[in-house]
Amino acid sequence: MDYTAYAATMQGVWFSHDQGENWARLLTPTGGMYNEARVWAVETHADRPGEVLAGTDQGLYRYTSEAGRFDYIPSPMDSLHILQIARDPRDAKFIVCGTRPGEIFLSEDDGESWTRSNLNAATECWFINTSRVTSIKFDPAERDTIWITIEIDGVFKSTDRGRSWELAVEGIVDRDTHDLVFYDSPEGRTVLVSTEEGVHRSMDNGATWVHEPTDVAPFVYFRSLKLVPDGGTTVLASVGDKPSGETGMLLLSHDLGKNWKPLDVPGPVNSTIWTIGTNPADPKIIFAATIFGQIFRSTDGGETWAKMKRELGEIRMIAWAPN
Amino acid sequence: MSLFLFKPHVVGPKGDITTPDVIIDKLYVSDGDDLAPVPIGRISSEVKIPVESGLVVATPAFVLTAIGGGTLFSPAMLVNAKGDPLRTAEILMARKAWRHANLAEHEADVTMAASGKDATLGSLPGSGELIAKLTGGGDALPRGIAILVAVSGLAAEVTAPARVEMQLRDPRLDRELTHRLDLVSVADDRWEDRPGPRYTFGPQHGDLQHYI
Repeated sequence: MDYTAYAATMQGVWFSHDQGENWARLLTPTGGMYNEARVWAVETHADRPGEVLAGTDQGLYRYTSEAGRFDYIPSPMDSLHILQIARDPRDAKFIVCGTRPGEIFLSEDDGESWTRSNLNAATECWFINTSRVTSIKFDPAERDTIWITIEIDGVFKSTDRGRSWELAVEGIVDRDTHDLVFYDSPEGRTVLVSTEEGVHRSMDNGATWVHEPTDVAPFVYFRSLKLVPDGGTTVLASVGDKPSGETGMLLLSHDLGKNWKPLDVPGPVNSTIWTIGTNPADPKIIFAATIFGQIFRSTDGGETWAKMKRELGEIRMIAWAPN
Repeated sequence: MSLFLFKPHVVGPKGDITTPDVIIDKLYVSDGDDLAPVPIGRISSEVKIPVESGLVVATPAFVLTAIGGGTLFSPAMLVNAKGDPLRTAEILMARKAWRHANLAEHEADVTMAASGKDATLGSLPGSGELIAKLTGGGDALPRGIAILVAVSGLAAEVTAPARVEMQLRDPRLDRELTHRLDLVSVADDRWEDRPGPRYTFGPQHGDLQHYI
């Protein structure tokens, strides 16, 4: 498959046009995005091949392969850190951004205008002082429902397309929450959330959660959680000894997190594996990256992994999309 | 504040974009014959701002900003309550600009459009004239200096919530810069019932050391 991989780093956005082997940024003076921009999020959409949105500390940007550069999208978020971006899978013009401090901004017209959501996230939190939006997920079944995770505050759910939110943390043992996975079957819905203290499961659409220890992992700091997008029940989890951390690992479950196995990731892994990037265009191609710049690629749906030779600076998110 | 960090996306004649950071120490506002300094704290690059209830005047402008690669030419909007002097307006600078050198020869043909009207810059004091006036005959702006030229004839009177927009059009190079602002009333609150601030912590068990 002809695809481009994208890495959001603390030194801009990096592109790979050869399956992750080599990486490069746009030409520094004319790339369109601030040279010193810290980038936390890169987001692609199936209906917009060649386009990627980037969330930075200098504003929101759009890259298109046609323009070959980033274009700034004016928004009220310029002075915030734009950490997460998600677009409605059915409508690429509907953009949801999550920031630090923890706020949600919505655009229904492809970035032409913005509304700040009434998200009552914590205005101060333990340890990291200021809350951050760590994931945004459009509900796969309910069109008007959006879920987010916030460190440190918990899981929030909106049923009015992001205008208002309710906290959904009953049973969560640690409200430092990172990522969500949904699986719908005739038997019901399973939702998993990754946290600083491992994975939690909800069987009642987020009303209550049960903490599930993962004895196969020596660590409990779970970061990225991804359902392999092949329609099945395979879940990947990235884990580290602590935030940033000094080592990391990947776990795989074929039964929605009931049983996990550690994956053989070429080591030494230098820090927490921070991000996993999948794309339904080819469920077998998956990227993962440590926060300190190592990149790994799987071409068999997560069973085996190769380490890419090139290492970048601090990587916050990795993604790929067909050209 | 003592400086404004202007972060423009500078569009070259072939569409390439550079992104310099420019510190503005002093801003002079020109409205007619006057060229007067205003406090830097009035400048921002926000695109959504709260304004007074009642009639508000949005006046389009262009800004000349000193920078090493050549003076920047960018759109801006001044916003003030009706009846207040223009010099007290909030100044919203768009994060987009052209190099003045790319339009100097045809500056008089550049047009500004806002609130359904337009004007050519030929009807205004030229950039060279303004720079000479400020610098005592010089032909370049000193570092840290910006001059804003307001075009009161294109001003709009609006009541928030409102969107105001202006364009600078360069007919010779066939390009335009659009600056759009959303004005919301300072009296409005997006919360029907504004909640109190919350403090949260991660682990919901055991003793925690709190740092507050």
